[in-house]
Amino acid sequence: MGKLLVIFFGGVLLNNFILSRFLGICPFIGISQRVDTAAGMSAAVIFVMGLASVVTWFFHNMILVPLGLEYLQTIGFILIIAALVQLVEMVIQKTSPTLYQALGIYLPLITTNCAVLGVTILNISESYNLLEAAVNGVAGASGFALAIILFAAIRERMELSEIPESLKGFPIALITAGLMSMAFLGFAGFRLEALFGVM
Amino acid sequence: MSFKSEFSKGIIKENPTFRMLLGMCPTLATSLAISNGIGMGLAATFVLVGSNVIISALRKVTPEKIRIPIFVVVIATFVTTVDLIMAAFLPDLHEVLGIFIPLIVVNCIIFARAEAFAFQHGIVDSLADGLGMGLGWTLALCGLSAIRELLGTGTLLAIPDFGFPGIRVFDQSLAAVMVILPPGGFITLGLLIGLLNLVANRKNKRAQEG
Amino acid sequence: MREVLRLGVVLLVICAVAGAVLAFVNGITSDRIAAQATIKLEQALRDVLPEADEFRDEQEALQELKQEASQEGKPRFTITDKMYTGYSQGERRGFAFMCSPSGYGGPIETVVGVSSDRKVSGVSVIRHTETPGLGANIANREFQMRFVGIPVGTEVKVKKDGGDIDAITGATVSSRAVANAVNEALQVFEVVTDKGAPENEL
Repeated sequence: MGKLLVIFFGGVLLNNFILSRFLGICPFIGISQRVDTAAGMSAAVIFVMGLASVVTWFFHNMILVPLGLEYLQTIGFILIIAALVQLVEMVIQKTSPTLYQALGIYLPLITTNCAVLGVTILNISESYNLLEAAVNGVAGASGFALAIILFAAIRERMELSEIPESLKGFPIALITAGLMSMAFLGFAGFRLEALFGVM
Repeated sequence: MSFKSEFSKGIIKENPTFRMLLGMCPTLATSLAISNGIGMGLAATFVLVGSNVIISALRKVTPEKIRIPIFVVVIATFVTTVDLIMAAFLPDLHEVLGIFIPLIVVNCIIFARAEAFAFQHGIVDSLADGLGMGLGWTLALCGLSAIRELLGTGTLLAIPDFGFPGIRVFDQSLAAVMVILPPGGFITLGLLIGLLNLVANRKNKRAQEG
Repeated sequence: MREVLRLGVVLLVICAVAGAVLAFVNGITSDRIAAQATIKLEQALRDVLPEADEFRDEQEALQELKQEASQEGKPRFTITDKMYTGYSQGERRGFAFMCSPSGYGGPIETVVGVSSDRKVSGVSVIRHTETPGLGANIANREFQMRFVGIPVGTEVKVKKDGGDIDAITGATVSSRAVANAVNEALQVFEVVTDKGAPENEL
């Protein structure tokens, strides 16, 4: 239990996917103009990242490792994620039209979100077991959600401020993200292992 | 368009980092030292050129409907090749670049060029486009890395692979370590793009007045 | 239906070609990749114990030792992962320990050599994820040399904790981690030589 908590809070705060690992910057900058769209995207990412972590874990440990085909990891994982996103899209469309309306447009974009492929590769390189991999997937996505929602809230306010012509748009977004990242750096000194009693 | 112009457009006019704002994750994550920038840039350039050529060669036989999965397979094949070769021959660099090598697969630059250029153009043009875009990205990465390495550590051109500590420009105690930490990546890139915008705006204004 | 079949076949052919290409690349690189890890470790062992030219893995002895030590209540020697004995011309020249203390950014894989004259003969960091420009300086020879010559029985600490080791400016946590590794290596050395465990000299 302790280790799971360490993985979870590590993923959300200490090693935040966006602000300290630089994974998922494209959607972070691209889909953060408004808080509600950012929240929709986050929900979709949490769902897909959790699911992708579990499926790729089985794929790696049940198929690639026994067959000695570990070098097919990258190609296999990206195809699984692409197929998974398609599948999730179809299932949601059939079963829950309201959810589909809310998430629909974000789902296809997730395939090229490097945070998803990133978390599945990290799960394997950290040799997590199934439960840890799932927790890591959800934690990474929650960190993504936290960062993008906070960021969207800041950007909504920023629309009302006067910004130098050359910094408008992308540059000021990056600088804002930098300041957020600096704030998150404050978590880096936490000793989570000690806090949750695992060594 | 000639080979030369397809090649040169990626370096300045349509620079993937500064003009088209593509491939931000690896740009920010690996721009810690010039040697990293060169390594990452060349790895991505290899993938870009390879995938551009193959996708262009296959464009007549690739059914429109399944082009995306085919792009993914082609790109992932090149990425895995680079990954394995680097792990075998440049282990230190491979470790530093870590997860960002397999993540070249989802680098939007490569995808964007496959979809927007290689799928519509001939092999030679695609080769030139891949080379130009790749080198443009490498140069941008090196520029950003140089600034971060210099301000963050006070050295230039450190190459840990060969145990070379780099050229010390000023003392470690004067270095602003924040520049090399994640926040510095965001802020340096933001200011750099802002500066380039400023230059471009000035030029436009002068052109209008003149 | 025929359309779907055709698309499936095209995709299958491309995947098959990709698989074949990768199998080929894997075939020519796999041996070298596997060798890289060993090369790095052997290089580090030679660096930290320059007197020896042959190393033996003492995994069993280390496990035994850990078990005995832990019977006295709390588990001890938790950061020492591996133990090696170094020989030259059939004579044992010292021990090398692979420790992974946690630094600022994660575990720091440190190899510590202790020679037969009961002093630290070398320290080498083979893998770490410390901050570039700060904690990453633990990988510099200059820092590692600060530990060389420390005798067994000394409590190795950075100055901030009341010891003698100069920490790297701005990187106390990383420096402390390496000091912990050296400290534990010396303690394990003391236990293992007092016990006379794999003392059987050739």
